[in-house]
Amino acid sequence: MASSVWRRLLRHRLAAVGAVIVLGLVLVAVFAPVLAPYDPVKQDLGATYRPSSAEHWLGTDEFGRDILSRIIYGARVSLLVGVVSVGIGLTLGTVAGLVAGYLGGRLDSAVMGVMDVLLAVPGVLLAIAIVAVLGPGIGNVMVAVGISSIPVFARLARGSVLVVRETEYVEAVHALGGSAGRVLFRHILPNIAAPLLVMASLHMASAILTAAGLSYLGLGAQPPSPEWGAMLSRGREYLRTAPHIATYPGLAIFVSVMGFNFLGDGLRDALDPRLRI
Amino acid sequence: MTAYIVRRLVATAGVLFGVTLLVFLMLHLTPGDPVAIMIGGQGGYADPQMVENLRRELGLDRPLHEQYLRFLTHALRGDLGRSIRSDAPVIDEVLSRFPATAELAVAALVLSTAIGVGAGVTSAVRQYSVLDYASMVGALVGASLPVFWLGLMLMLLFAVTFPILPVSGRGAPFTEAVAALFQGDASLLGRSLRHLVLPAVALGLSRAAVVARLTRSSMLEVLRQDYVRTARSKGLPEGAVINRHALRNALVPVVTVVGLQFGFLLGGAVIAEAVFAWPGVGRLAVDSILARDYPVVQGCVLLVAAVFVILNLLVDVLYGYLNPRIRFA
Repeated sequence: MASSVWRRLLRHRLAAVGAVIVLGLVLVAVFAPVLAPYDPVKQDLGATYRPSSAEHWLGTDEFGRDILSRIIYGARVSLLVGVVSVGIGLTLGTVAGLVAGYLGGRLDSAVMGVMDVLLAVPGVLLAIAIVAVLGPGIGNVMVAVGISSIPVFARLARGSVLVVRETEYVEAVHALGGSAGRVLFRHILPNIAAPLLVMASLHMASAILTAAGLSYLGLGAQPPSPEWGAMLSRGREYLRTAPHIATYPGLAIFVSVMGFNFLGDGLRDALDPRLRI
Repeated sequence: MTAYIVRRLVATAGVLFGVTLLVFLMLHLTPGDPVAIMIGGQGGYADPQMVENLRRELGLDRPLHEQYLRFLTHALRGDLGRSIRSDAPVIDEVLSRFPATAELAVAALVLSTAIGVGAGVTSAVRQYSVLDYASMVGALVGASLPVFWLGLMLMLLFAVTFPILPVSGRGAPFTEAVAALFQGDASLLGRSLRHLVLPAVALGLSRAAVVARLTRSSMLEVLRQDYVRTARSKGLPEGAVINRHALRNALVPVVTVVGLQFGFLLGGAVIAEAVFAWPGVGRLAVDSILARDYPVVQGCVLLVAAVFVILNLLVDVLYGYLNPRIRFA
């Protein structure tokens, strides 16, 4: 099973491109201190607004900070935001969906009612509302983006449980006296892991995008943190005189998001071709 | 059909009720004293007398259930309180900004639907061709474009490098511009459209990707149906088969997604509005968060969510009308 999935994934050219981008992003984030030519927050007021040169490959910003170094360190922030917020959404959403779908009845109605209310507020606005409650900051943005993605995972998990619950092997576990917890987490969860994994990969892309958007609005990472959305936001002010300040961080967000989208798309085709749209 | 509509209405009322509860709780879940934060900022000094007065004014000195009932009854009467910053009624502030947001979202929706359906149909009709691959890769690339970056790059190209479009702001309300056109003045419409182009493209392009992918898969499914084969075997020209027989049926699920897109565009407009200084609800929400004007934030979230929920209802009803299998399920 695993080898056939792997073969299908490798054959998917876009997925391979996505995997290379994601792997590159991880490596850049891990080896940032080795790869970055300069300290990402060190100012050099004698070298502000410099365009690309041999000394500063992607130029410098309004404080003379090296943009390439800031983008390299920014990969850490983006990846962390993606992993933490998807982790929150995936964990809480899956548990809520599993329990609601498996137990059914009033609990199911109550849980899915809460999910419907959360889905009633468009994702970006919900994340913004949560940041309004918790206060600006990158940590709160991770929580906000994570919470706003809970309903998607909950619905997916519940839908999958409703199908798997009726299968013969689940009935067999019941007949052998398996507890609800055992049935849910040992037998049902592994069988619904494929669509959840695909959704998690695609959500990494949207989490990075939303978090960068919130930082762009001034609600996420605060200066001097080298976060791509915040860098872009500062760059807007110098669009006429030094457009490179806004261009490169945006390009970094775009390529990273594209990597996760390509990989998620390929995973969907490889793991479950029925999910393909 | 009536039973289906009633069922959907009841569900929508429940969700709307839940949304009011969510918006109400926003203020109460704020860590620390929200009133002190509103006056003095996070960790700042707030005069105790002012805090007490504002708390009484907002009704925060009463039991929680009483506060919610008060919030709900006032909201039903269109009273969402007053802005901390301007002291104007929240409902007036939010409603005065809504036409700008709706205008931007509608423009982006038209654009994303036109591009998405066009690309999706072309892909399906020429499946596995270079055009198909290019459209679908283009859709994934488009979906990855950050609205705020695309907005800035469009601004750089069309407003800075080649100054043919305005950098930011809203020229004139589109409805007023159309009214002026009927009175023989086309200049206002030109100004309105020139301001609308860049934000609408920035916002609409990423959503076009979703429409394109769905249109393609829906169209591919319909093209495999027997009635399409029959139409072809009757000797109908391919254009007629595609337009009259396949596309009409393939667009049924697309209608749902296009309807839902509007809600996402309302949410996405928050960022596009910030980039282009577009005076809409999103910008008001962000400005209010930064100014800790919570009643206005509550008003913005409530309005957008209510519009989104009602749109969902309309889409569901329309989908039930178009597809009888849904309403009888």
